[in-house]
Amino acid sequence: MGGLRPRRRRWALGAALCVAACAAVLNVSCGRAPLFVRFLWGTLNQPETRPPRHRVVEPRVEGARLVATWVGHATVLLQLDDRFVLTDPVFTSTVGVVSRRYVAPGIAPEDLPQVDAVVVSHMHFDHLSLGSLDRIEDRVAHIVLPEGGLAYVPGSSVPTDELAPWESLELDGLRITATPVEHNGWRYAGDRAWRATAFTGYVIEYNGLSVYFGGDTAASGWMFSATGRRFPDLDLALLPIAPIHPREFMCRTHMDPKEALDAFADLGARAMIPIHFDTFFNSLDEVGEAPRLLRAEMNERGLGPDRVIVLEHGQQHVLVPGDARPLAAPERR
Amino acid sequence: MRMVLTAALGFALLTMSSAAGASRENPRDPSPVLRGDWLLLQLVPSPGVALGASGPAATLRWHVTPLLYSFGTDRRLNRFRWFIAEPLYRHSGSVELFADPFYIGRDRPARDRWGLSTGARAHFPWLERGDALSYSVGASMLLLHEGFQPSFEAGLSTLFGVLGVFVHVAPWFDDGYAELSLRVRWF
Repeated sequence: MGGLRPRRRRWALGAALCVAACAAVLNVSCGRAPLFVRFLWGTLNQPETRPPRHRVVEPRVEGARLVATWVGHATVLLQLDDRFVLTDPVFTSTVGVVSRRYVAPGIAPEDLPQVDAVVVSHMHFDHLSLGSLDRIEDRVAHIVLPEGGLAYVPGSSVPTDELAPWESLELDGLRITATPVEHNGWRYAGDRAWRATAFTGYVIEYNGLSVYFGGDTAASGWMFSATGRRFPDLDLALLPIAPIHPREFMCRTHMDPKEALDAFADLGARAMIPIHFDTFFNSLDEVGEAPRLLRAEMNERGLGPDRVIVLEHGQQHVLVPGDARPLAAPERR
Repeated sequence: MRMVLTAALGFALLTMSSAAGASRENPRDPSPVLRGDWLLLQLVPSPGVALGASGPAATLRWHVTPLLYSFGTDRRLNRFRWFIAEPLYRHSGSVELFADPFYIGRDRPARDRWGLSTGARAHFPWLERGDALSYSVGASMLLLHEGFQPSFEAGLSTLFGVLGVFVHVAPWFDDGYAELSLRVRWF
């Protein structure tokens, strides 16, 4: 070092400082460094997108009162009598530019019916996909966002509104109410200090039918119980069951299958459809792990497939056919 | 220029909307909060290469946005941002005033290696309302040790504006000046 010319010495000092800064950053996050490497490796080695097992071309089920079609991830097309509601629409091949889809959407955007309302639960890339909104906006009548979310839906060509927790919006008989969940509202991480409220769940009501959409949430018993008390007649709960691993990290913002079944009991809904699994992998979960754990837990609790309906991508399920209610209201916890 | 900036800042402050009492007509509109990690990330320079009669030289550029007006953002929200602007505020369509200091690694005295580019830049969305891809055009006055001349720039940004490629040209310098930079920017 002593033999270096002053200019080279300055460069060497600069390089050493850079290395020290990188080492400090790694040291601060040393507990997470192996996780980060595994996550990065998984992101770089994402499998090719495979087609869905089911592909819905005509989503409307004539005569049915309540129908759910799992498009993938948190995207569910709900038919409530003659109305359609779409949750967290994501039809793009990637989210956040780099995270590739594992299974293609169960409905092509061009096969969607006229959608009365799109509800967006929060601002993360796998829930608010602006590329997807671009593709479907010509057939959407209204977009509903959580409080503080409007800033991240620029250039919307359809009426777009925010709802604060417990606030409702009435759209010609279709009533959408924001419900509290446990998650976070930022999109880019750097905005976590001020974009603090832009996450929610929803209850969608129409003609005596009601559906709970949990979006993406951690376990929070009182929130689900409070929602269940306000909406004691829920026909369906759409509840996330993943990502699961690493649990000590994910538990702050995500439910695992067991917690999702707890939430289902707290809500007191008649039926549950699990969502938010096996579509995008931003975790250390294995393919099929979340539904496998869910089925094991269902067996332990004596919950049959009539109560917890595990759909495949693109699969449709009629929950309320014709004028009848197929299931008796369960006991709430 | 100072008066214009002061007036613009004053106007922005006046048009700030409050987060309190949010409703559907007056939605919640939180303003960015200055944080240490943002400040630290602003120190990360954008590397580039400057071309001129004296040959190629490495450059480092930093980005400062005193004021940004986002015409892409919903009308119900405050469309002004100063210094800190969320990627969608910038890349969904905006005009920003900027003052970018830069360093050119040419063989000359240290103080003559620094320059300043100050002007206005417009961003337009291309894919996913600018989140995935946006393009920009701008004009500025470029201060180098050779003098003070107009310059023009054009660029493409991706990954929510974190990465971009920009070209700067200042044709009226005697030696000519062009720069190709890889823009690295966080908010």
